Amino acid sequence: MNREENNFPTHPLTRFITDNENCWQLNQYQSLGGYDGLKQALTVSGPAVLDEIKESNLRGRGGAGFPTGLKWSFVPQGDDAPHPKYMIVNADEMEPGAFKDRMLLEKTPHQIIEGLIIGGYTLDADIGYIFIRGDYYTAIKHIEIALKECYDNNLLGKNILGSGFNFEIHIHTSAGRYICGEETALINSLEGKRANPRAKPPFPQVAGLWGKPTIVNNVETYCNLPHIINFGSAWFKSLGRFKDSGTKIFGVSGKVKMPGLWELPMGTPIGEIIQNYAGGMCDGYKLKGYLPGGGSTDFLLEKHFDTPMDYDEIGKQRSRMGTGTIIILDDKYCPVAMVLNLVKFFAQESCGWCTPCRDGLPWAAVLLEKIEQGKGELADIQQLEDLCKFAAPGNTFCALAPGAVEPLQSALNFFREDFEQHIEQQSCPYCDIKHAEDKYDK
Amino acid sequence: MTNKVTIYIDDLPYQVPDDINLLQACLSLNIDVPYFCWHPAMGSVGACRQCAVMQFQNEEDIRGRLVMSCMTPVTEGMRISFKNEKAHTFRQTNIEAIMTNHPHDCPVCEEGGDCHLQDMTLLSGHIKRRYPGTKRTHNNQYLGPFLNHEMNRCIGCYRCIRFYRDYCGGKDLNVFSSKNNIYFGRAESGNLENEFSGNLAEVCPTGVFTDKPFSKHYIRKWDLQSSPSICTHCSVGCNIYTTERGGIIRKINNRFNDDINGHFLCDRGRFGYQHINHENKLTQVWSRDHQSQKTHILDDNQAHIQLTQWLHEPDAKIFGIGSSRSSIENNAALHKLVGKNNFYAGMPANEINQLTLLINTYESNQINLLSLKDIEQADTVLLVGEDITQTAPRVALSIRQMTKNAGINKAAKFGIKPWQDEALRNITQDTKSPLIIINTHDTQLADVAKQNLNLTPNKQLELLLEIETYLSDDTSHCSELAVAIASDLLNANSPAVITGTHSFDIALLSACLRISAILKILKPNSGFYCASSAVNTLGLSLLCEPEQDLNHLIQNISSNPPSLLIIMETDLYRYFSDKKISNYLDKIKHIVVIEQIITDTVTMADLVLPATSFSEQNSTWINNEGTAQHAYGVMPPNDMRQTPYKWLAQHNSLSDDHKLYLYVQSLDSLLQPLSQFESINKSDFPIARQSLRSSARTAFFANIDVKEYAPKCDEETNLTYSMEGVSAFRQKTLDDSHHKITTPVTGVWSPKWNSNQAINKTPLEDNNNSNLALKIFNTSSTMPFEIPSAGIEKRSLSTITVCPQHHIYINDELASYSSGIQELAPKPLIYINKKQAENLSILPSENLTVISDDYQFTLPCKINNTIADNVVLVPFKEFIRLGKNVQVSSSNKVGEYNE
Amino acid sequence: MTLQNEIPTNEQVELSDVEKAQIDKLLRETPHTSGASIDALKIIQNHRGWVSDASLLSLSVYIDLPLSDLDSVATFYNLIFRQPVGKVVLHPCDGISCDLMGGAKIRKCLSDQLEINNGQTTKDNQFTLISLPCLGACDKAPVMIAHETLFELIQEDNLPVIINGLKEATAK
Repeated sequence: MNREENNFPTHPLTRFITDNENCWQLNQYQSLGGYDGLKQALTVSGPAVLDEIKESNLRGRGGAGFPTGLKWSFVPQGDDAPHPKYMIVNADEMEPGAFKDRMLLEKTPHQIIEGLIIGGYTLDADIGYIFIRGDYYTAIKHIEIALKECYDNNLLGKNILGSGFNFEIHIHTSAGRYICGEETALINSLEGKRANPRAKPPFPQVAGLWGKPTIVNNVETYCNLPHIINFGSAWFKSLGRFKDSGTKIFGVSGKVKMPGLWELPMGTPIGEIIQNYAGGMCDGYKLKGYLPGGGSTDFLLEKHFDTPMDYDEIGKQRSRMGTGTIIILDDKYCPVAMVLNLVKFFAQESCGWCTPCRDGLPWAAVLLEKIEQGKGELADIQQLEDLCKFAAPGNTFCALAPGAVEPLQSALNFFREDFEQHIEQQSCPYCDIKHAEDKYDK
Repeated sequence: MTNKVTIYIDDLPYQVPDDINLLQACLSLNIDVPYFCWHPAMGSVGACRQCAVMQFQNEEDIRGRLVMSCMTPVTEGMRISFKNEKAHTFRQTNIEAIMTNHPHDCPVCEEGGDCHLQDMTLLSGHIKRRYPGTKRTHNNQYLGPFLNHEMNRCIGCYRCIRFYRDYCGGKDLNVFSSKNNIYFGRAESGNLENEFSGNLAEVCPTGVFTDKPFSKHYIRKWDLQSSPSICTHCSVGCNIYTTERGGIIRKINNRFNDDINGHFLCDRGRFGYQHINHENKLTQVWSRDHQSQKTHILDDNQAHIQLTQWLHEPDAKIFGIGSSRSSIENNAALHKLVGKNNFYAGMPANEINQLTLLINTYESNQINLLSLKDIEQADTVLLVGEDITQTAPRVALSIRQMTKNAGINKAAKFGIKPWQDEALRNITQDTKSPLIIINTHDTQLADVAKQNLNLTPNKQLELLLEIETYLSDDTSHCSELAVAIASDLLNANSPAVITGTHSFDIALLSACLRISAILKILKPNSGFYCASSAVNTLGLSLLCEPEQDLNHLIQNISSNPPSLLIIMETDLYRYFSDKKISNYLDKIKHIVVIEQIITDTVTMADLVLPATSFSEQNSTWINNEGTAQHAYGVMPPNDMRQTPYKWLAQHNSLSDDHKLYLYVQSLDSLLQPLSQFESINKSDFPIARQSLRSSARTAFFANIDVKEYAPKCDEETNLTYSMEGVSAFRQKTLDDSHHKITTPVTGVWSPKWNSNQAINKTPLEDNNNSNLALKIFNTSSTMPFEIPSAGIEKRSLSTITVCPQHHIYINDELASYSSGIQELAPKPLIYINKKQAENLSILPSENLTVISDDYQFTLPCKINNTIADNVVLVPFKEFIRLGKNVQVSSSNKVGEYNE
Repeated sequence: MTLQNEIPTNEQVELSDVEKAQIDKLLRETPHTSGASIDALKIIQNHRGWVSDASLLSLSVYIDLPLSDLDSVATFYNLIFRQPVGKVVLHPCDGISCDLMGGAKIRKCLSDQLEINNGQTTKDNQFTLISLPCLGACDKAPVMIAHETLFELIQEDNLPVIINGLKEATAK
């Protein structure tokens, strides 16, 4: 497949990231083709843009992989639709191991803004929000400046580029808490409330922020929109190496030679990312396992290296693509400690609304701590397995707890000997110096 | 009438209404699905996850999907399983997770034995604790005199703040922190501000919030003796259970009544019972010997001899004062004794006149009388001249629910059912059904009102007359405001006009009635509700002739004093100044007072006959909407106390209940149906007031005697003062058996459900098949009556109007004896707005004096800027003693106006 | 333990004109006052380092929101500090990617050097240590955020340099 036809880019998302330290500013962005997508979109109707997005098979890049076009089609359109309608960028990246959105936010704020404006135009929305975590200071600064540049250049505000379309964007910084990344919890946070998730129905597309139609999508999802409109859904589909369309920012962290981020086609095999792009394991370390999509996905092993980074394919291997940022577990790091770190994280980030998450995750953390400290019993493993079933998808109010037990359940499956060894030895075979600084029982 | 759908539970088909959730359906079918966060009045939020059941797509689907039954609407043909093993394991683990932090407090926890958490833990099958970690703990707060706070026990169901904030509109209780550290309390220790805080003790499924006055004389639920009764501390007539042990009333519990109080009581009703246990309660017959200035205690015989002597003196002239806080039976007995021309209502003229107007209007069928349930289902409310949040708080709670109806309708368009509580609130946002309040100042309903119109009574009347004009199709001379309000009423499907007698302004009442009458013609679903002053005000009014009120009594005493005055349960010093009353009372030869507790009037008596409290007598009370309700006593009368009608039975020839009820019926045709209450007292079999587990029977008097005493016998009813008899739970069977029995239920219980949540284990059609209540105003008979129009010309213009200010913890005479209520009662102050203060040249906390012909008082003032200009709010207890020619002055300036 | 009859603190502090101006701007932009809660709390914190009971009460009065609403929101979000913090709040990452690269050791060194545990403040009130999970820079692990700066690839040796640099940067 000749992807170079018509000078269409192969790496649409990262082509704006150059060595120029001002690459994130408007003039740089526009010189490389920025806002061409928006201009193109404004020449056709909103529904036409929506059709193109549907056609492109773009799936949400925040972790769930829900088809974006389908999600947007539930927003009421037409003259009777309630207003104002809201488009929200979920830039509250806080998943352990996820760091892809930071790059896009710091280095390509205009790409996100362009995507957001296109989204607003498509659905006849009025107000956009960029919900960004408060710790991304550089990104916030860049976005604030970028927004001003847009307003100054008729890319935002009234009658954008003479199209008659009005749109405004506000930036909102979070005050912490991972749960704000859940779309309905994010909406509650924007309303100035505690970030508990909401029950669905009603879906946010129908009644979200302040009871009005609202779309919440991940940073990376919005970034794809200008290019889909600019170069077409056929091109977008052609980029993928397997079934899913487009490219994705993949990342690797852990004891690999070159941890980092790369824009690669969807469907790139996992092994290729780890070995070719991340350079494989550091000297002296072997791969034990990895979480393919960040801290809330199930472990996979070397034998799964051929699995393409495709939402459904990874699902078949009983894991998830998630954020696409891979966390490597090396052979010198204790799997029990790793899972303990993750479960403690999720227990601490629980909003406190529903029982399995609020009370079940700390329970799992206590058991894991017990095992790690060399005080475990075999019955503890059974309890942990019960707790994994207890927090399964559908049992809880939102997806935090099911995500929390994914590393745990797969670790119990693949690394059971490690757990048993902890219990038989009554100590951690991996530990010598390191011990958890934050004890669970504060 | 809702439609039914067929659902399959564990492969058996059931028919259930199509508008409920699956949890409700299961409970009504007697399936023990556990739950915490769902509540029948507050709907579902899906937080606790306890109510999980397995749902299957069809018969072939064997895997199924776990769903939360409280969040799942019932649909035709749905297949679910309760017994499914995975679902059972999930529920078991869920409660095990809840219990990881729960302290082993049961033996020392007030909730034990009445605890929903205990019940659900057992039902869910969790018996072995695997969690090896430590439990999180919290510090507790002081939340006021009514509730204990023990946060260690919290299971995070969020019910408390959903009730307090979403249902009642309270602001100071909230949830703090997050994850498994969540904390329910106030921003800082202090009294809970909302008038319904006491319900937290019943709403909380565990022992975080418990009844504090109850803790001071605590007894386990299974040891309590319990009876169905009526709250006697305002005119609404909420249903309660009174509980007792050892001659002490321990706790008031809510008794579910769909039409009136539903699941909730106000704090005055819940905690106002302590007068029954009060050290000043009267339990002996006292006779005052004026010569020796001594008080003697008489026995029963001596008391009757004395009474007979005075009744049959030569030239005896006997007056009787009936009581609005005493039952129909008691008032009827006194009425018979003294005769209708000598029977006076223990109410001021103003009040009797208002009540007469109301009763005549009700009988004429020109308006629809609303129950509180009807008010909740209205879609526009006009609340006039009554701070009902203080005078009849339970009504205010219903009005607050009414404002949510527009939101419920909006959500229905999105397919969201009324019980999907959180979804409803997210869609509803600010949408509210209109509540328009016309008053002198902002009330506690101000936050949900579309308009708070704070006006002088004159301006209020002006506005009402304009509204009436507009509604009568005469659009001339109508202000924009009147047009707007009238339009809101006309746009509604079921508009309601709500008012009360507490403004003491009969012109306002007239205007409200006229508006309601016009509305009834235009909107058949419209209605009216008027709050009166005490539990039996309406009932007492039915027994009175015109001019048989306290003001006329005083005049008659002055011109032609009686030889004997029998005062029943009325404290005259509440209505008149000390000096005035004492002067009049001195003119009377013999004063007999029948009363429960020492009052100022009691100290003037020559003979005091101790009366039973509501907990020691069977009684009938008629509430604001004309529902006569029968209440049962819970314990035999204390010591020498007798029910007033029994004291008088020897003297008025109504020697038994049958004669008494015949007489009651003869007093007014409306009271005909009350004979039903006579017959329900004699029923087929005994009903136990105590549970089967009630203990210590043999030990009770062990310090006095070795043998166990026989339980006291209840002569009048078929309820027993023991555990012998039918137990307290529903008799109805599922399959409509022929032996349908409806008994007065003496408590809430169901097999395996020891807490008050057992109320949800009743079949849905059961509703409120209580034959303890009947409506006296029926639509079939109509007595023609023309509601007088209130001409504004009759009212004099004035610069300042003195108006009464009411408070939930001040208004009711007997409730004020409770220590908690006294603690929370505000200091008496005069309230004015800033402009008024400037006009009177006065600074906040300086004194104002209010003078009238009969009475004067001086109090410090306080600023409240929601008060209308030219209105001075004075405490109700002072207001009621004021006569004519009221003036207000500060030490700096004399302001003038008149009544 | 029950705290009996605690008298609520009605102590208020005056909000500065700058704070009020910033809060007013928020109130203009939100359809409902409650929507400004979190941002308003952050404004207070930006000016004062933390949100005290008194400043919370003042904010409650100024924007006319119930005190319990504001505190309910403030205590939910971990980056709103309801206890005093030092001049600099150190946020070393305790997420898994950092721990895989030796993050736990770094945190222990930090703790030892400053002689405080997680959640505590140094005696001279210079530093408060609050570890945070996943700062979104996992390829540069271990990382720390402090004084709006991201410190990457931290090693034991350069900790003292970082600490001193922060001390100087915030010396006034």
